[in-house]
Amino acid sequence: MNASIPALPPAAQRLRQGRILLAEAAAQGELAAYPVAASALVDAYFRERLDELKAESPALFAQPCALIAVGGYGRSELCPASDVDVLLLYESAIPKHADELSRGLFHPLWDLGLDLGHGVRALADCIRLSLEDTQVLTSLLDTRMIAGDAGIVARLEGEFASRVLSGYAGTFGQWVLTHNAARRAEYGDSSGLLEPDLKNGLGGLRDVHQIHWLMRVDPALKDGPAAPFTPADLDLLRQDYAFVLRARTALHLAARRKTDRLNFDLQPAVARAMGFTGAEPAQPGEVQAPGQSALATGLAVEAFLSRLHQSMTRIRAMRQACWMEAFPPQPGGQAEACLQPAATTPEIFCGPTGMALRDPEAAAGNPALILELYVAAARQARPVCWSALRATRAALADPERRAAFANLPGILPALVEIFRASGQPTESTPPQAAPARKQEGGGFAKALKRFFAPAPAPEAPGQKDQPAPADIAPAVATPLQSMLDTGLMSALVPEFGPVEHLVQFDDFHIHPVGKHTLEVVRALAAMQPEASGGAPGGDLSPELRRQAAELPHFDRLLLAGFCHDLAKPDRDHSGAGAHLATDVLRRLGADEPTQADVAFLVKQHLLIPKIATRRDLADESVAAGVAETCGSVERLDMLHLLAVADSQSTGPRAWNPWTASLFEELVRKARKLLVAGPLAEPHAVDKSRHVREEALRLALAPASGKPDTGKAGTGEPGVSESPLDAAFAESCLERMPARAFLVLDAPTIARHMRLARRFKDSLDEDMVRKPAGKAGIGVAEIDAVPVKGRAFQVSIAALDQPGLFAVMAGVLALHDLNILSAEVLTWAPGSAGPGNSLAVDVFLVQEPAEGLFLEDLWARVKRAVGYALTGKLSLEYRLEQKRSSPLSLPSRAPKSRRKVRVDNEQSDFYTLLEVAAPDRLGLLHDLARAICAQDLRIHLARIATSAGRIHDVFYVRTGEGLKLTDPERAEDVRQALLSAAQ
Amino acid sequence: MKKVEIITRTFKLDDIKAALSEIGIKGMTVSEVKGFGRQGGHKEVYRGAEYQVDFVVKVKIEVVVEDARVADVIAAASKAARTGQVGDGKIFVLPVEEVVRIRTGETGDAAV
Repeated sequence: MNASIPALPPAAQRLRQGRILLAEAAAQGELAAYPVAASALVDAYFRERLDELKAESPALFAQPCALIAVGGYGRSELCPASDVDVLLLYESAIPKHADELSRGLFHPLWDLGLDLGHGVRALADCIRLSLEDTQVLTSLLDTRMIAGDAGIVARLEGEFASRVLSGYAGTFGQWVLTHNAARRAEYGDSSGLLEPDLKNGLGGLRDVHQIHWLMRVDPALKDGPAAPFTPADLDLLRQDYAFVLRARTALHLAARRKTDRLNFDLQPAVARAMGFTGAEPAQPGEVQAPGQSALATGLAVEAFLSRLHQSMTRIRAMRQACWMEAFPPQPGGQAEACLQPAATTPEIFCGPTGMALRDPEAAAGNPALILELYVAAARQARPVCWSALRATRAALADPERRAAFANLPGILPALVEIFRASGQPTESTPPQAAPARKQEGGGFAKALKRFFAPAPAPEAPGQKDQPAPADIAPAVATPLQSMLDTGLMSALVPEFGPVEHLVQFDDFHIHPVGKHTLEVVRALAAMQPEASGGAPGGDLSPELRRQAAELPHFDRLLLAGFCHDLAKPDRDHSGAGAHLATDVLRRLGADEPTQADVAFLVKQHLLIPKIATRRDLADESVAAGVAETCGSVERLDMLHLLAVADSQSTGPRAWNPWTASLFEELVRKARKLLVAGPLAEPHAVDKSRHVREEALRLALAPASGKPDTGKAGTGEPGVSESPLDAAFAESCLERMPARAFLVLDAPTIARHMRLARRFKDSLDEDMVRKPAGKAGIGVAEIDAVPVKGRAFQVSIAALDQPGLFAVMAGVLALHDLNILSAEVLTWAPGSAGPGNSLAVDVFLVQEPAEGLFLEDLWARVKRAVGYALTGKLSLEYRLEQKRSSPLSLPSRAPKSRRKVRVDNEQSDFYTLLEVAAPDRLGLLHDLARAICAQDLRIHLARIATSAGRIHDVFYVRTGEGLKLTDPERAEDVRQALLSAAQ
Repeated sequence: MKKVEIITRTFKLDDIKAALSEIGIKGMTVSEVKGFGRQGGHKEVYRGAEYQVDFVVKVKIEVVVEDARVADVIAAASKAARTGQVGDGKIFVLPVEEVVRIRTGETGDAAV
């Protein structure tokens, strides 16, 4: 198919050949040598090509020039898809023939498909541009001469050092700060992400470049008397850097294009190339592995990511330390802080860059002093300085001293104090969890993004060099973060060691367990009323704040946050975790009530998320079950706060306003039962009567003042809603199922009555137009209103018929509406003409992306339901078409297992079908169809989707209205659902 | 291969160009076009007389990519172009049968 590549000059042909051989060698495992070898190949190309050109037309070289490698190429670290950045430098003016020379040099590289970034400049322009544009400046910090006149290069270096670098440190430091804030917003903290960006994420290669740049700009950092890093530090940095660079090389080879994000789908190949085979024996408990090879792949990826995170964590910590050493915050104001007693011992003092030790070398042999240092740092809300971090690492490197940490007295109060002080967001905190910073993002982040976009317009970049620097605080790590980074936490609590870097290769977890634990503790600490230091604890409701403020034993909650995932990856990590937490706390000397509370919280930490998203909250026994499990309001509140912190920290997809409102509803109901006893809830009959009366009153009143429907409309925008006829309203109330009065409020019931009238009108018309037997089948009416939690309540009325729920679920999926929960209300026979029943299915859907033309959307949904019911629209085909569109990307993560459970215990009236499976478009439709095909009726569906996995619960009864008690039939249903969830 | 046509607000051009460059798209064709969608053109008052402006000026960006990259291109372009208001525009995806780079005679994916 392809024509052969056009006549390449011999130099380019050799480069092509060389790169092919290099890629082959890399595929055999020679990754480490690749970046330098690839750079050498390009060097050789340029030199040979210059000779070729010189032989062809010597006139091109009339004026002396130099070819200089800059950026990554200048550092001799070309990964397979890296840009090749070169500079053709002239002494003064650029001669006319420079054009032809650069064509001759660069065009063959384009033909080879290399990403070339080139500049042809005079010396003075280089200096001017680097003063205006920091991006140019950083590229010139890494220059390497390839060929040409060495004199020009020497002059460039001289002028660059004297005119640009001297006195530039301050501006450069500020630029690094803003650049890193933009990196954090765009790429996140790669040292704690399961899909890290190897170059630009925090902890990535860019951090190492910054350390080197800072050392170039401020030579005192490199060899001054107060240089922060020892040769051993720098050696470790080199090793970590080499590891990440190897991973990037493997990533480029695996992806076959330029990408720095280590996506799930590329991880197995990269891990293999890095020599991680996963050949470790499987854990004894793992008997149901889907396949041995899949398990090995999973283990290999987990081991590789864990190792990668450790390297990136060290890199990030060193870059933070390097910046802090170069630009200690407020040198003036620091002296006063130092006067305060920082600790009980004079060995610890408050240095300019954080808490420091008088004699770090000696302190490495004194575990108690090191622990005290972290407590003092927490007390003073200061970071721990690099020399003290090094002392910590040195102490932990020795097995004997490391063991001594676990036996120190006073670990428990120290931990509690450190936890309490860890509320403010760190650089590693995901931006969405720190709204205080998010606000300042917007336009500013955008400006930065434009600034760093490739090929910036050369005229204007200078002015953006100082974009409101005061807005960005320097990134510091809390003492807690530093304890995790250095490994001190796992030395103090050895049980933390196994989970510290634990990575679970699935779609559900976004952070490794250690980092997740840290975020949970941070989120909890931020809930304390006193933790107001500029960092409000996320989008916390006043209700939650009050609960947090009233807790008598906040410490126990913090300890539970620390312990909640200790037993991962155990199958029953909450149960096993409770035992483990008790052991830990007993050893650390906690009192009995603390042990009991923490064990309870760890054991039940999934209770609220599970129940709130998967159970019928209108069923009083559900809330009663939670209340009974908790036993006291204090425990209930602690459990609620822990569940919120845990969900918030799992990732953006696990937490949304809808989930928050479900948690609150469940806790409110359980709390009421605990405070006032079961009789506090008005008797169900009384409540129903009250709702019924109120609904009737609303239905008979003119419906003009309906502010709650707002712009949502009803699907019939032109129709004004007159009061309902009293007889009709009464008949509606009579035919509505009793459950409607329990789960719906009066305004909704009134709207359903109006919906029923519109339905009746449409039905009558259809009856006239179509022959009996066909009439009425496709009639549908819709009503949609916005509700709390950024959701819409969509009620669709149609004639009750088999498979109706599946049709509606399919239509909503086809219209990109994400269903959160569903309720099926079937009215008594006669409600839709003689012998027919009206079915009103109430769906809660996430706020649609279409916020402007909602009327159109609901009208389309209504039409589609009608078409699907009359066979004019094949939902299966349309959903399949939508799924196979190139735009519906299948999830790249490894698939989680499918599970189906048939449960007759939870509810007195219904059988519960619980389905857990990887999410996909139209899954609910397929499940509903499978249930319908088994002659079961769905009465209620709870749909919980979290990070690519669904957990749906259907409350069903058989066609005869009974529970599904026959075990054989139950097994059939289970198999049918398993197959539908494929 | 597919051709992705992005029709959107003119002032979004730079953002989209940057977003596409970032994901490794190396070439595009840009033209100024006129048209209207759901907003049906907007009304303007000129010298006291109101008259209907039926066509709104937009920019059309055309990119040809291999099939596997279509989703990336659309994600990047729509993220960059979205304001949430009427007039953000549309993206069309069309099949492309063949591509030839004229200078070299290369065809298929190599010529994209």
